[in-house]
Amino acid sequence: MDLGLYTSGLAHVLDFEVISLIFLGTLLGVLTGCLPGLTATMGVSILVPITYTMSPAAGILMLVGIYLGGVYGGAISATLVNIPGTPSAVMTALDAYPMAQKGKAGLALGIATVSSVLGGLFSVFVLILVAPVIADFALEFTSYEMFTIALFGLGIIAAIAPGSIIKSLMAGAIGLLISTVGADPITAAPRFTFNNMLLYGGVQFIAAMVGLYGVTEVILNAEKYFNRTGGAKNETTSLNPKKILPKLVDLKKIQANIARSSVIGVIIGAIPGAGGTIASIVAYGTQKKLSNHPDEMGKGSIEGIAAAESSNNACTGGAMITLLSLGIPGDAITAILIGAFMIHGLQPGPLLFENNLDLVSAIFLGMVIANVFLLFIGLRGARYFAKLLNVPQAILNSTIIAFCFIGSYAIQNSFFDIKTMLAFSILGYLMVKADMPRSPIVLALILGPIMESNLRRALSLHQDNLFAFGYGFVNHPIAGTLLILTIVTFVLPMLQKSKWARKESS
Amino acid sequence: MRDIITSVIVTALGIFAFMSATPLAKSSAGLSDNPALFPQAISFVLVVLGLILLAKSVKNQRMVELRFRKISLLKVSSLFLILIAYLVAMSHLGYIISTILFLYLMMVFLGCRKAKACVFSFLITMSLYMVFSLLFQVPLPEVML
Repeated sequence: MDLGLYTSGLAHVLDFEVISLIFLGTLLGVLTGCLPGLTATMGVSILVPITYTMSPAAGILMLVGIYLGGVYGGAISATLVNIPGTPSAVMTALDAYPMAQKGKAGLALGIATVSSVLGGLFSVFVLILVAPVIADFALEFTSYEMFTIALFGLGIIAAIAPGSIIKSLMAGAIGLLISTVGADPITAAPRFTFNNMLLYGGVQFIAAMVGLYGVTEVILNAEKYFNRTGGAKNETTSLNPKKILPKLVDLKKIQANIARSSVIGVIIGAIPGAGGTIASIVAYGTQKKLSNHPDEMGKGSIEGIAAAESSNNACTGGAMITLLSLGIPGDAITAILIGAFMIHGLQPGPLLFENNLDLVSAIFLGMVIANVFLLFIGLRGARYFAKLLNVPQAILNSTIIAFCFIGSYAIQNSFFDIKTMLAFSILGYLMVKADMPRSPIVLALILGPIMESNLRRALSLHQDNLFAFGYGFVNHPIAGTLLILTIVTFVLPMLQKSKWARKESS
Repeated sequence: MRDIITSVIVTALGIFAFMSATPLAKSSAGLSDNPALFPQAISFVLVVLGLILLAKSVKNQRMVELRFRKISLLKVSSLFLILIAYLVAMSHLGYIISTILFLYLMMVFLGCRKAKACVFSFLITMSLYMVFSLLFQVPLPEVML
């Protein structure tokens, strides 16, 4: 057996600087995750700039740390102030906050930490086993498969994004349209560049993300402040978490639960388009069905916390499977990670396993290390993070904006990237006002070029004969199945809706 | 109301994109080496989606009010103006001066006390400058009058 996949990254990881960067990343991730208003997605996008000058391995590993930390960090504010610091902690808050109100904030955080870490470690284990197999398999993929996987991912995220499917699809289509700005991938003809040379290379992805998730989020926070009527403030410090290390008895009660929820998390994480929020909802629901005390859930039960936290952290490994082996993002955060890979000159996908095996291996090892750091940070540091929740919003939000500006500028020392960022922040704000989800745009920006080049390659294989192209799906069963699944994803909800409409009217 | 505006904007965007992609098509022969194929297909989908939403929202007649409040709309627009001003200031006054001014203005605008804002805008600017300019060696904009 070739152990290269597991050992070749050691040289990268066993380096004091890299280990410290993973620690710093995990810490920064927990920080952004736990502050309400700073989601994990925002954390990763605004912190990408500080990795520009690092080596690819160090930069990517730090970002992976931020990612894992950010997903976990949401649990802290969910417990202490009943605000999920990051969307995937929404189910955690259901049980963790009632526990905190009963004076058991420490136990809630302890259970959340241990479940998160176990879920995370399990998912890395699955990632290590499965990703190489899928990557190997994916080497055989033709443009048909790549096109339909990209279409499928975009379809799923549009179908499950909150709100109307039509608006999610609109967001996806707008994203695809934006992804065509710049040189045509086949003929290199400039498209939608409006005679601006700076657009020839396409829209700068990281700047767009910083605008869409960083600046927009701050504007929304500020708007909340402007609209606020009373002087309502977060009450935090009264719930001082003590005794965070959970007892063995408690852990025994939830071991099966954690195992099951972790499996759910990995599987859902690996589906392109689905992510931590869905995973925690599904795991929580499953636990409620199988629990011996289902009525306690939602009132402060450790079962609920364990299910939600182990599944949303298990998603990280699942999402990394699709990211590394197919180059397809699972959700908004992994889409930004792909953007970061590209900044460091790496293209995730099956070829990554052939050309940069040491880096893939380093990512596996780095994720294990980040999870161990997470355990340490969570069990030792939660009480300090609780204090952070008191940082004045005005200072926090202003600093984030300053960070967004300098980060976008630093991509290639250009003011144009700041303009891109501002344009996307206005777009993001208008989208929120129109109730249109932002995540399909992010995915579309990454998936657009994959879809377009593969579609056109497949067409040219059949001498531009549309009928022959369509028939090609019969010869590519994976692509054909995914295409049918994508269509079903859209048709099914519409049929159900019209059924309801008929019932309501009769 | 909100959905009607959204659908009109999206439809218009689709038509605009379709039109501006048309001249791209002339130079090419087949489907696959046509740079306009993908953008036009997407714009077409966008127009269809826009029209579906329009039809739905007109039929529903449920008046979903725009979620803007007058005061906050004014304040949010001024927030965007401050951001644009910061961008302009940065290219003329250099990084440090423009950032201190911006942070101070922004903090006060978001309800921070003036003395506190003074101290923090200075400290944050300096730490950002040190991290990016000294540690990461990013050449930050300098004074250009």
